[in-house]
Amino acid sequence: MKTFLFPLAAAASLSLSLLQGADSAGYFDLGQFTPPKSGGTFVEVNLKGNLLSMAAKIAAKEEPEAAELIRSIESIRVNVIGLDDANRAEIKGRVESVRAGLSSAGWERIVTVQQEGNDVGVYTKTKDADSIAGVVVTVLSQDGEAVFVNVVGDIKPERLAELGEHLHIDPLKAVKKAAKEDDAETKK
Amino acid sequence: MNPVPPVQPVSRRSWAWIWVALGFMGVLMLVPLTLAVVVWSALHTGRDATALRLAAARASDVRWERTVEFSAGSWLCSFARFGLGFAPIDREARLALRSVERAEVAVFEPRSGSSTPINRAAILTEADAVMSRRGWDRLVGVVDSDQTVAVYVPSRTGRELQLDACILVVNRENLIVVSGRTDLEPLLELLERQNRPGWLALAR
Repeated sequence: MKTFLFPLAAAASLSLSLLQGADSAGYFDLGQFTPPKSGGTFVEVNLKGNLLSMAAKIAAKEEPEAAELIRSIESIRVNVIGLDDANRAEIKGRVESVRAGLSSAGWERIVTVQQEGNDVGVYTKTKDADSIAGVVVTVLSQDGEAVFVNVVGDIKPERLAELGEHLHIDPLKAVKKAAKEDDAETKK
Repeated sequence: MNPVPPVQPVSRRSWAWIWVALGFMGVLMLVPLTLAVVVWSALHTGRDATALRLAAARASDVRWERTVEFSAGSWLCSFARFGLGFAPIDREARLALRSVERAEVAVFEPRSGSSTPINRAAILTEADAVMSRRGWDRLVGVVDSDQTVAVYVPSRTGRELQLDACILVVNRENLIVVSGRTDLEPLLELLERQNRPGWLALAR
């Protein structure tokens, strides 16, 4: 009986986890990162629902707008990895594979910056006409760092820059600038 | 040959006295035993914090020795809060102390003569594996040339506005584990009293 139940339970848990993943269209699996062996920078932040709802509750009284923004987020993942000779090629390859994966999964690249040694890409997954299900930011900076960000939620496009300001994600602030430039070009 | 005198049955009253004596002795033994357990637990961190410390120590390739280790469990914190109710301290300080529901701290330093470089990357990997098995998720992980910092929170949270956390800091001088439970309600009240805007004030 046990031999029958185990694969059944495993299959059930697997399908459940797949369903949970499918629920969050804005989630993108960035994979696991390991700290550079040379002792370079490594930062990983994983904020999930329960903590975010707690933060929203705390902010609600004093900063209702910020609370509303936090409430619209399901999870935030940030990875900053210092590049050294041992991991540079691997991490650059990871950036390329993440970008390729995003493009093939129907994510839209809304910001591209390639100047002064910085290579920034901002991708969004649209939920409907008025909201974004997820944002992925990839950065290869000239300071020798790679940054990966995935924000999942139900985010209003016009609030992306605000989100960047609150979370200190500079490339998201650039979304506002890019939108303004687009508007200016359209008007011309 | 003399006849063996018959054994007198113990009367009910005697049995009662025997039970009273045994109970008294039990209480006498229980008091020092309880005290020993309380003192021992006050000088040792809980299972999760200990597991995190052992994982970090094992992965660091360095031998560590205890500098400080203490634990103020929920009972001790409740007693302290009750006692502080009568103490003439500021309302702000009282609120801050009220927010602490449980606190554990362990500080270890490298054993003298230990000059092995600390394996920082391995610490995070090992600590993650151990804490994940115990139902904790890593919220933040930072590794740089000087130190490794990791903050773990339970995969499943309990009451709203109650935050459990286990924090690990490893640098050249120390291996520190801090674990505790905070009630955020008094902290919010404290922020309001200081006219500071909510969670963003905490973040800043």
